[in-house]
Formats: sequence, structure tokens, C-alpha cells
Amino acid sequence: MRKLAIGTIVAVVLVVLFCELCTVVAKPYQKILLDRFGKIVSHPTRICYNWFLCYPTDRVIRLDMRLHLYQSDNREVSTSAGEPISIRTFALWKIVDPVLYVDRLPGGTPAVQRYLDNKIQSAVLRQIGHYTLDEMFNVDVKRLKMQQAEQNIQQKVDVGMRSLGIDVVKVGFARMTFPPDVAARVYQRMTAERNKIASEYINQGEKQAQITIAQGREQATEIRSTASKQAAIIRGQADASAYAILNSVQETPQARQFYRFWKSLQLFQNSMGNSTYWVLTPNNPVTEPLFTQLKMVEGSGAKALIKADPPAAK
Amino acid sequence: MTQVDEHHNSHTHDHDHDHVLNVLPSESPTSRWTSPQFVLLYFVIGIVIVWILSGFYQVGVGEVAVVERLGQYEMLPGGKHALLMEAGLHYHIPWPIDTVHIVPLEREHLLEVSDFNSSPAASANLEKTYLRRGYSKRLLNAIFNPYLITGDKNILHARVAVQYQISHPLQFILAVYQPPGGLPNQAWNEVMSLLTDRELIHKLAYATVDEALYSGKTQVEQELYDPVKPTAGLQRLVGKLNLGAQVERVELKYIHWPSAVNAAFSAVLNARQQKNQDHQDAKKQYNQLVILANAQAQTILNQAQAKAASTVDEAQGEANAFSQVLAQYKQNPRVITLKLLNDTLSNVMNNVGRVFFVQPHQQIILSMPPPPKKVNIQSAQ
Repeated sequence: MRKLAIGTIVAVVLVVLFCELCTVVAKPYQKILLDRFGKIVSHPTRICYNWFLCYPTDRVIRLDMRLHLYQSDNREVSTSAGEPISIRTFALWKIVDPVLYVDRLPGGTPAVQRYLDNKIQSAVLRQIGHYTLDEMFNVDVKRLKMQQAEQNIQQKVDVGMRSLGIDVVKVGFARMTFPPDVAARVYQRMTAERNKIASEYINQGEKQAQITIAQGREQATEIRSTASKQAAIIRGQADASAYAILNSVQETPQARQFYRFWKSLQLFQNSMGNSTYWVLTPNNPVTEPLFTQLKMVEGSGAKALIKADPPAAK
Repeated sequence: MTQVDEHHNSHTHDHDHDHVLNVLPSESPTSRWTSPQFVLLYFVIGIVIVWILSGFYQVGVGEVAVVERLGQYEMLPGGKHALLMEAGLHYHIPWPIDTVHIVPLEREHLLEVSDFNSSPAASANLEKTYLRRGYSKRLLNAIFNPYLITGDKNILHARVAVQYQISHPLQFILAVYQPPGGLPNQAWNEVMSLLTDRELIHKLAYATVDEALYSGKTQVEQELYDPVKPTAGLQRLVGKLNLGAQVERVELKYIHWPSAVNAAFSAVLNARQQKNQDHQDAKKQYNQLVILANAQAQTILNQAQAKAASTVDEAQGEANAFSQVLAQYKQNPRVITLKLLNDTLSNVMNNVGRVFFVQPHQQIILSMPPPPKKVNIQSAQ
């Protein structure tokens, strides 16, 4: 019984040791190569358990097949017009051929980063040199060629990468800035532009205010004139109605004749006020009956009667 | 030391206990279960139990688990889709057979991208330190003062928030190489940040500074992520690179001009405010003018209507009066005529200022005061 227990324990320990020392499990995103005395002896076809001979015979090389990130530092380059600009790029790459990768780039990921660094910086330097700053930044989308420059850089970088067992999936600009002296000039320009815009705003405000007030005055005049016009129409219509009413009572010649007389009496009465001086001769038709009657009574001529205050007559 | 050895030793050194020791059995059941072999066995059994129990795992709300068994994910029948373990208590074969990856599938993730928003003042001391160490000023400026360049070649700082959900757990796990020692998903987040940076650089490269700051801010956000076209913008890159996420929203949390031009931009804001104020004042004056004109117009119309009414009324009254007089006149024209003449003359005589009766050809000199109206005009002049 004791021997059985000890034997079991020893067996378990041996199995565990064997599994730990001589087997390797490849993760779903990994490829595993076995390097036996400097030669790749196993192609990465098996994801699950792989057997190998432990040290010093075999060396397990684990390769992560997922996307790897490369980031460059800032690099000052010149555009075709000689305008300097600082660019930082990034690249996403992955291993597509593990055997080639291990064979050509034995330094692993750091070696790839160095290789990419040289290649990307060179491509950025050359490609940005083909474009002007206006083609990199422009409000007119048709003239903008930043994406084209980025694609060209990726194409240049991608050339020959397959032979190293890697694929550059994406190259992009992570940052684009001006060098400090250019940035200082940009700040000056921005300040000048903003000040100009501020002045324009103030001028526009004043001009717009003047226009608005003038429009108000114009509209006010128009409102008043329209009202005056309507008032004239109303008054005209009223006059017409009044004339029609008065016409309606003058249908016969006798009525018209009498109306003329009646109105002349009103006019005469209305025109004689406190400030009117009325000079009459005895033979005027208005007062003639008075004097005629007197002649008839006294047989003498008419005497002038002056009904006036002496100071006023003076 | 065994129980037998203990008995022998006690017999040698302690005679008082001889009787007691003699009645004890040479190997009791209790001592057998505590023998070293059994202790080792207990230990092994304990380890096995712990190992078995370590297979229990819990999946939280909004999470799913993917089980990896010996390097292969547990798949649904057909082998196309991974078997996703939903929220609850589950069991897997413990390490090293199975490994469980828990992915927060339904949770909203927020990634703040502030690569273009570090203030030069915030890192001034660090920059000085590096300057003393001999680093290039140009390089340090580019590192410590990041910004975006707009289409009209102005400079802006920005901070963006990207909201996303993990849409494909397997793609998410298999997307980006995570260097050992980093935080969980650190590399994935870094890739997402860089893609956002790249998109932002491209979108602002054709926007004016005013569009980016004011009018076109929403458009920039929409171009980064458009809900109508969810496969465009940032999502296009995320999908193309199989990052296993779905962008839900991109928001410009902060977009501002550099502190170096703060005064000028503030002046523009003030000027715009002034313009609006002028416009408001003018509009107010405009309204006052129109209101006054409308009131005047209404007065004119009211007066005209009153005048019209009185004209018609007067005509009507005159017509009525005339009709009545005319009726009498028709009956006896002479009497009515004389009556009217007499009435009129008597009224005139009562009201008229002066009446002079003069003989024909008599000369009189009348001194009349000038018309009062004319005097007023002259004095006014």
C-alpha cells in the first residue's frame, strides 16, 4: 500500500515535470518554432500541445501573431517648398511568416522596431518632400493630399517587408506640428488675423446697426404715408357721401336755386366776424329798403350814419 | 520517531510509567493515520482539491467569458463562433488545461484621448530638465507642446472622448499584442488612441479654425463618427484592423486656441459680443420707430375716420335742415327769402366788427391793424 502511494506520487511528479519541461502550449494568437541546435525543426502548424526536447537540445521560440505597434519619435522634415514640419508616425505590423521572421530578423521585436524606424523615417522624409504645406493642410478638400502622402509612405515602407516575414498593416501620422520658430510666427499671424476679425466684427456691428435704424425710419415713413393715403381716401369717400347727400336734396332747379341762395347767406354770415369792417353806401341792395322807406317818409335824402366808435374810426 | 521507539525510550528513562506503557498497543489506528505517508497523501489530496476548486469562476453582469483549452478556444458547433459564457458561476478545467478570458462585452468604454492637449506650462519643469540633459529644443517642444494644425494653418489644442463597446470578444483578444508587464488592454487602448489621433489630424486638416472651434465642431465629431454611417470615420479603421470594437460616439471634449493667442481670441469674442449688442440696440430702436409710426398712422386714420364721419353727419344735417327750409320756401318763396335775409343781416350786424355807412363818392380813411397771423410769423422769424 505504502509502495503504491509513493509510486503514484512519483509518477504524478514525473508527469508534471515532463509536461513542464518538454511540452509547450501555443496560445491562439501565437506560433511556436523549435530551434534545435540553431535550426528550425518544426513549422508552426500546431496550436495545441507541442512536444520538444528540453534544454540544451531545443529552444522554444514564441511568436505573437497579433498587431504590434511601432511609434517613431518626432522628426523634422521639409516640404517641397522648404517649409519645415515635425512629424511623428505610427505603424501597425504583424508577423505573417514566422520562419522568415525568425530567420531574417533574429533580434525579434526590437530588431523590427529598429528596421521600421529607419524605413519609415526615410519614407516620411522623401514623401513629405513631394508635397507643399498647402497640400497637407487646406480648407479645400480637393487640394488636400495628406491621405495620399500617408498611403505613399505605407507603400514605400511595405516594399520588401514580406521577405522579412512581416506585414505593415497601417502607417499613419500620430502628430504633425510646426517647429518652435515657425509656431511663434504662426501665433503672430493668428493674433493679427484675430485682431482683424475683431475690427471687422465691430465695423459690421456699427454698419448693421445703421442699416437697421435706417430701415426702421424708412418703414416708419412708409407706415405714416400709407396711413395718410388711407386717411385721404377715407376723407374723399366721406366728402363724396356728403356731396351725394346734398345732391339728393337739390333735385329740382328751384331747389338748386334756393340752395345757392341759402349757402350764400351762410357764407356771408360766416365771413362777417369781429374783425370785419363793413362799409356800406345807402343805395346798396342790402340796406336800400331801410333808406328807401325813410325817403318815402321824410322826402329828404339819405344821411350817412356812421355807427362806429370814435377811437376805432380813427 | 515511531510509537515503538517512543515506548522504548520511555521504558528506559521513566520506570513509573511502565505499567501504563505496557498496556498500550504497539501501533494504534490513530497513529497510523498520522504517519508521514498519510500526511503526504493528505497534502497531495489537499492540493488536488484546491486545484479542482480553482476551476470555479464567476462572470459578472455585462461580461462574457471565453475559455481557452490547450491553446484553442471553446467553440460553438460548427467552429465559427466562440462559446461565450454569460453572467453567473461557471466551471472550467483548472490551469494549465483551461484559461478563462473575461471580456466586458456589454459595458460602455470611454477612452479619453488627450494627445493634443498638454499645456506647455504643465510640463515646463520636465522640459527644462531635459534641456539641461542636452535634448534638442525642437524635439522637446514637439513632445511637450502637442497640438493640431487646421486647414487654414492655425493651431488648436483638443481632447477627444471615444465611447465604444467590445463587439467581438475573440477579435478583441486576438487584435493587439500586449507586451508583458503592461496594464490590461494597455496596448489595445494605445492603438485606439493613435487611430483617433490620426483621424483627428486628417479631419482638422481641412477645417478652418472657426469651424473647429464654433460652427463646424459637430461636423468634425460627425466625421469622426457618424451614427448614420457607422462604418465610416474612426470605425472604418477599427473594422479594417479587426480590433473587435464598435465605436458608439466620438465627442470633442475640449477644443481651444493656444494660450499664446488668448488675448486676440478673447478680443474677437468681445467684438462679436459688441456686434450683437449693437445689433440688438439697433433692432430695439427699429422697433421703437415702427411702433411710434404705427401709433401715428393709427392716429391719422382715426382722425380721418372722425372727420369723415363728421363730414357725412354735417352734410346729412345740412341736407335735413335745407329740406325743411326748402319745403317752406316752396310754399312761400318771398316770405322765406326775406326772412332768411333779415335773420342773416341781423346776425351779421351783431357780430361784425365795424360797419360804416358812407355816401357815394365820400372818401374815408380806415386805419386797420395788420393781420395778427402775419405779426406772429414776423416775430417768430
